Amino acid sequence: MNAPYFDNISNLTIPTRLSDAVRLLTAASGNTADFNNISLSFGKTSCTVLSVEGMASIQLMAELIFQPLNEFATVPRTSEEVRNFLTKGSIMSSDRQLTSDVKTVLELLYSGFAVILTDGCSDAVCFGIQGFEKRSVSLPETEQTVGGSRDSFNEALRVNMSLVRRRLKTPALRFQLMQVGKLSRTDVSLAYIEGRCKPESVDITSQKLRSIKLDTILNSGYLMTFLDHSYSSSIFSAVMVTERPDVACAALNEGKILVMTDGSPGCMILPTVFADNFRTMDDYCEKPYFTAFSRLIKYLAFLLAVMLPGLYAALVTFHPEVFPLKLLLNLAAAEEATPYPLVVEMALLMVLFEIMREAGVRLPKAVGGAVSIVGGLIIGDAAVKSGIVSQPLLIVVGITATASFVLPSLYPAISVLRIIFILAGGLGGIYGLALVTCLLAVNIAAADLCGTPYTSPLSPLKAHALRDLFTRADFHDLQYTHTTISDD
Amino acid sequence: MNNRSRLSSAALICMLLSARIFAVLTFFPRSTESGFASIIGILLSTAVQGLLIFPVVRLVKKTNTDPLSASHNISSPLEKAVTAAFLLFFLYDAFLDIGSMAYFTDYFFSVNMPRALTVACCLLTALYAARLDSPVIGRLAQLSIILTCLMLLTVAAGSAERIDVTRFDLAIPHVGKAIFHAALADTGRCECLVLFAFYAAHTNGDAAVTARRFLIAKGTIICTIFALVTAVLGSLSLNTPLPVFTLAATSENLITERSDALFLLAWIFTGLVKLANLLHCAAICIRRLFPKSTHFASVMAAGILPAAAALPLLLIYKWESIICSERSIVPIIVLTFILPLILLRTDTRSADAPSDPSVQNSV
Repeated sequence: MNAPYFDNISNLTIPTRLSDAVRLLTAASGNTADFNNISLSFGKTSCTVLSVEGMASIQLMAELIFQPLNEFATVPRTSEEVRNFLTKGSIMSSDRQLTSDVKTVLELLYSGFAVILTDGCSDAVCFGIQGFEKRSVSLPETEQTVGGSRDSFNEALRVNMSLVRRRLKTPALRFQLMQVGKLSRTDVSLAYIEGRCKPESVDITSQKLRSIKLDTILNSGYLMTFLDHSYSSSIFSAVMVTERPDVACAALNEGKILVMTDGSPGCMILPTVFADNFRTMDDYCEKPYFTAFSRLIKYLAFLLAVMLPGLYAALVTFHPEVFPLKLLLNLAAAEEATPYPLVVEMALLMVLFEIMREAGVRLPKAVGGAVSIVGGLIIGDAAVKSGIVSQPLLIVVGITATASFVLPSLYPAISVLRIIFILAGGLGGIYGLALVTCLLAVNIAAADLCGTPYTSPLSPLKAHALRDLFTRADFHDLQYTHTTISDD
Repeated sequence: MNNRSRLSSAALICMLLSARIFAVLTFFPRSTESGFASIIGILLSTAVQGLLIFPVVRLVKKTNTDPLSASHNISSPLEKAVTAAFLLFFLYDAFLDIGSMAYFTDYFFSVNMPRALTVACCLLTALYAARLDSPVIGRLAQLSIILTCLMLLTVAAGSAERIDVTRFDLAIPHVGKAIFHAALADTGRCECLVLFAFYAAHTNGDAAVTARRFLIAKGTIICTIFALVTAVLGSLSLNTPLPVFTLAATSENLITERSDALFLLAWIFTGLVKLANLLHCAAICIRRLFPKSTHFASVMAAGILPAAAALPLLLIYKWESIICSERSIVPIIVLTFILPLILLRTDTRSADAPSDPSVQNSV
């Protein structure tokens, strides 16, 4: 079976005779059902308008293509006159391309262009009149804020680019457009601010994108593993995904690079550091003291979400002397009544919680709420009353679950790490926790993208960036000193 | 090593501090039972250590290379000998580190793990870190120092009520002798100086400034730990294993009755950083001695050799005789003072010597 990569037509050019050209393009497209061609005649000269159904706008085609052509066709025209009219004498669309390459013509057709072939002319004139269905700009779903903007990226790349451009009206903002995916030929845009971003980082990122040999790019997640070399070996990723244009613009201003993929509402930001997960746009709408408080809560929530169940298991199982006597007696009484070892109870509850969370995510919103009620209230209450799990354990799981929702971007890492910490703490006590903490620290310290360590600005220490780590930088200071992620 | 992959000064200082702090958290050298004499001895030894590493600093400033590369520039046999000396030191120190972690974890903390498993766990963790670049270990060391400082602050705050300065025991016989012994014992536990000799040429900053800052930080932290233990537990506690553990076990706060769990976390962390560092350095030495060995094989060999040596002693319960024995300061003096001094002198001579034989004849 031949690989469907346009290889058979890569060097073909459009024949001068119109009938041959149409036959060639129709054959190259495999006589696909959504391929439209409409013939027009200008006296002696004829031409054909090609388009792909659903990709080009019918209204735009009528207004920008057929109406001018009909007016032009009132008197007989030569092929040269038609060509000049299409390329120089008319403004049919702001996006106009002239090509004689069959592969390019097909790619433009499938991107929503209308292609006009003229008899006696080997050049095809292509007009961008895209009109495929797309979702309108709507509220962000995973990154809610109180004070930030309410628009979010959607699946159309051009719309996403315009959302960024609308906020950064500077000539320093640059977009590089490329097509990735041997079959899908997905449009991918790379955005950066000239002068803020390191040129070598842009070059490397662009090179990485161009070298991708995947057949299809259906989501930004397909690209992540190619952009972040430690993606598979690291628990955390130095590439962050956002659906908020304001977050993307803030990242551009810090010297980071955006990678936007057509068909994906998530815009990738690189390189990011661990501390970026604890920043939200709300931080920049609040007073600095509240931002500092909010960040502290987030860091605490992260530690609780990852370590609390493991720490509880370690302390209760191996180091009960740490607890005050009253608490120790309560814990001992509660644990005495349950049949399973603490580590088993804890792991079971955590797995059960993850199952319920997964069910809540996949189900429709109306049913999702019911799952929470059944899982959280009924099963939890019944488990305690039947003596399968202890009440203190349920409190720990509840705190952990709530804390884990504070940082949605870190949720995948948190949920896996939590189970690892439970096993380490339950089987090895604080010794096991220390080992796993060390492994985690090594894993975080080893992540590095575009020369920016993931632990920056804490290690290596960048004093100027610390002001935006535990609190937010004052806008008065930012007026005069601007730092980027690559500044030492 | 390019500039990007070089160690920062702060990272190197944290790596060295981790190594030294692990030693002091594990075992105070049996030298004197006076806290006062110990602290003066530590200050004195810190000053002496400044002199000890002076040749290394000069060598780095002059040649911008570590002792291994400097010896390579002189002759290949010398390079092999110097590399072998460093390798043996790192392996021996890793042997002590692995054994101490396994022995004291089993001895003091109720972890239901066989010693072999304890050794295997800490070895695998250290190997995971040791296979990476030194800046990564540096970042890990920075975290371990932050954790240790937090632990010491918690322990100190929890013991504040029981601090008594009269426990410093100022009236001791033979003050000079006691101070001398304390200084000697402190220097004997400063294996971190050898690490400094190994890494000094590979940092971004000035080696002299890094050395100065490290010695000041080390002196301050070690003196603080000694002072805290003496002021809370008394001078007699200085001669017990894990004296800081005892201190942490008696330290209570509003939330917990004891702080020994926190101590264990910080102690294991510093131990792992030190072990990862030693294995990383040993692996570099192995690759220099056996250029055909791969990165993975060299790191594995560096880890397995000391663990295999420590395990039988741990299993037959003979480790205490190893850990309580006197440590000679000779290897440290040889590797950090005598060897760099010889290399410096030899390098000076070779630099002074005219390269053109005709010029030599004419002189």
